[in-house]
Amino acid sequence: MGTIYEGKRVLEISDEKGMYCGKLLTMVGMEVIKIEPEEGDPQRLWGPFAGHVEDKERGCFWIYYNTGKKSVTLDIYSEKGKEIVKKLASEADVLIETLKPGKMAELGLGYDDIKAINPKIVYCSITAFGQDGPYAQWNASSDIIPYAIAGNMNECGRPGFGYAPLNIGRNFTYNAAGLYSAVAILAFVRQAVNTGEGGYLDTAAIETAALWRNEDMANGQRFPYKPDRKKVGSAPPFPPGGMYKCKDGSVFIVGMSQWRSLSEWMKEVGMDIGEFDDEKYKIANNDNPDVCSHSDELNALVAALCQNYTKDELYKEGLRWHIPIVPMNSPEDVYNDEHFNERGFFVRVNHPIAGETNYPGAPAKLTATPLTVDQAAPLLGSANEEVLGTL
Amino acid sequence: MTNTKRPLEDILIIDNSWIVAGPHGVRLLSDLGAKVIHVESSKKKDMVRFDHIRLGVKDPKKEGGWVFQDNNRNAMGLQLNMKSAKGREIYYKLVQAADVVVSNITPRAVKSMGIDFETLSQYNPKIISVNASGMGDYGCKKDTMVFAPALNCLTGCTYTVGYEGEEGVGISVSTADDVGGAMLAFSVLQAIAQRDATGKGQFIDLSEAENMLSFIGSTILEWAYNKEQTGPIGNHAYYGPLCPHNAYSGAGRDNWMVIAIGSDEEWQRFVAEVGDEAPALKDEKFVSYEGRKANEKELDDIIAGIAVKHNNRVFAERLQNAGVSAAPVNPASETLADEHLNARGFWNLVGLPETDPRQPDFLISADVPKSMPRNEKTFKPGPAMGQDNEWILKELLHLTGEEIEEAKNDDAFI
Repeated sequence: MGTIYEGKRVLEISDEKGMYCGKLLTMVGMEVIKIEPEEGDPQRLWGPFAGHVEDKERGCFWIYYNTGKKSVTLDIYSEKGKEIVKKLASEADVLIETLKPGKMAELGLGYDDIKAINPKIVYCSITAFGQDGPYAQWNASSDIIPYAIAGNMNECGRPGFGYAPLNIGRNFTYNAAGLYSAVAILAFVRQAVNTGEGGYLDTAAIETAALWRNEDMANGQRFPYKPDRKKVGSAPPFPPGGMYKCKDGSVFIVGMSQWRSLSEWMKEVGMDIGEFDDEKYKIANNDNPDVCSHSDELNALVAALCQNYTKDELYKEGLRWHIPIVPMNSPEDVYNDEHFNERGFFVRVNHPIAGETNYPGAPAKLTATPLTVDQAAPLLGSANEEVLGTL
Repeated sequence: MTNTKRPLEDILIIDNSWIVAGPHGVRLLSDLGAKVIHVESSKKKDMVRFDHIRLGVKDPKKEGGWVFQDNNRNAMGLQLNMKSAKGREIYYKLVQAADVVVSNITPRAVKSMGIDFETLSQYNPKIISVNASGMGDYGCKKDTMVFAPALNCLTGCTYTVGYEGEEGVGISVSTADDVGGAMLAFSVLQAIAQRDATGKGQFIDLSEAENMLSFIGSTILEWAYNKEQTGPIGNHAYYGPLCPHNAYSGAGRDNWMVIAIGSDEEWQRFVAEVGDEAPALKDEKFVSYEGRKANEKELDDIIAGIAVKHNNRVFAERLQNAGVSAAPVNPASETLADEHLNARGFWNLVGLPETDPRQPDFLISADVPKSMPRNEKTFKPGPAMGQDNEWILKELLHLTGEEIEEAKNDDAFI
């Protein structure tokens, strides 16, 4: 049974900033038409390539973030191209664009131009900085730029001022901008269905990233605050916890005042924990001063415990002792993980050139109207006739 | 206030969720017009009211949890004890009036609380229920105890983020919860769309781990196609012809900037701006991306030598004015003070009287994305415990004074 989103038409004039947004819209059954230059999106040539062959149809980045879309080639800067975009937009439900602010209006394809001929259009601009404000015309060749300004990068990385703060990388910040955009787009398409009126959405990646509030942002409101970096990905909220080496890799233990369980476990396997058997260390209080002031010693004991086990053994012991222990997984580990496979997370996708393999599937499981991710990314210009032929 | 209708004004959400992921997703729906009732009880307070990401204030009686205030802004507060029979009765009355029930607890806890989809749909067949958990509602590892930093680790995200040649160190603590919340909002909208079309509700099983895997899917796909994977490469670019692409220390202690050059033209602009400070940059071998990438280490060292002589903020702005992608790496306080974010109205100061148990004042973030016509609303902080009990019980559920008294005697509102 359908939803109001099925078959709604989306025009995507987008680089890496808006590709995940368009992909998400295909998952609810929208028809996403990706408009590419004649030679194809430059991101098609981002390696690594499936099968190690450098080819427009084989870039893992492009063929992942464009599954389920249709590809139309068009020079949107030519008179004829502009006219065709306008014609397509006059009947579309959604338009996603990622050009520099003002550029679409310059082409006669701005929100006001489209709204005048199609009031139901939901028009979403995704940029690094947004449509207005002092940085609106700044350059951002990659999402490291908005991420750096948004305040999270500074706390990521190894403690000590000599070490560089770390970017998430791999387009994560722009993917997030795409996800937050897709949320608002769905809501506004619903409004357009109900009232005939769409709307304009101005997504700034700098703002979506600034929403990932951290402790430093809270402290920063009270006093000038320049925190040390915390190796945060593996930083426990409270000791002991963090990343520990084991026989076949590393595990991460979320520090949540669980010295009681850890010490019981250590005693069971015959470890001598000396004075740390004292009750005062076991009081479950995240700010327990006795624990906090001995975090190095406690962490050393946990490290000694972990080195006797494999990742999988530690994961299972964690379940037994009610301690959050997870393996540090590589993409290979994730791909072969029995849990994700049991849930049918991976989906078989057959790409005519890159080949058939398991793709990461739906990011959420809806029981009645599943999000679908089973169509391959389109070959360059493969929908030209279907889409442009009818104009 | 404007009279502009928001897309979800007809939607009422019961928010049983807590900490970050659930409330963050609910907040996005609230920004789009949904009404939200945040349900809590003194038996199970939302822990981030007090001690998670505190506003730097030590008084334990003050509700210093900033993330609580920001994620639950504009929500109503209902104090209700689900362990009391009368409390449950009232809860299910509320379910009959609502459209969506949100939780983020373990699948087992959903059932024991009586807020599983089967139970809820007996009271309201149109109800949409969503539970965000770490690993999902079923599967052999569904009982894994997961918090956001653990999610980064077990999804392979930590594996890729770190210093070159070392083990991954990973990303900011709550990011997985935040983007998990955004996916919660997305999936609820899809369920609402189905309900609009068919009149039926449904259950959404949201695994935050799977949401992260979808996010970083191209990395997993490389393994699927090529049986290859790449660990940390520092701040160098993994995708695209970007070089240089790195963080460089400016003058002084811990003042970093990032520079990311994405084309040969951008490189020319960079050399024109700073080439005189380090003539080595003018070398032929750096003219093409391939040349720069092949000599990336040398190039990084030359740029680091220039950067360290400049104030990071001033230098980044100078590069931007010359048409080069650059930015300061802001500590949080600078992000809060950032002129661009403030010019766009992103941070909003909310003031409260000193006597309020919540903090006297703090910054609240605006709607993302910004929509037009602009949503000109006043931001209210997260609700005090039970602040809207009276309105919800009397005006929304039309309970009589007698019924309320009876429930009170059954400890329904503790």
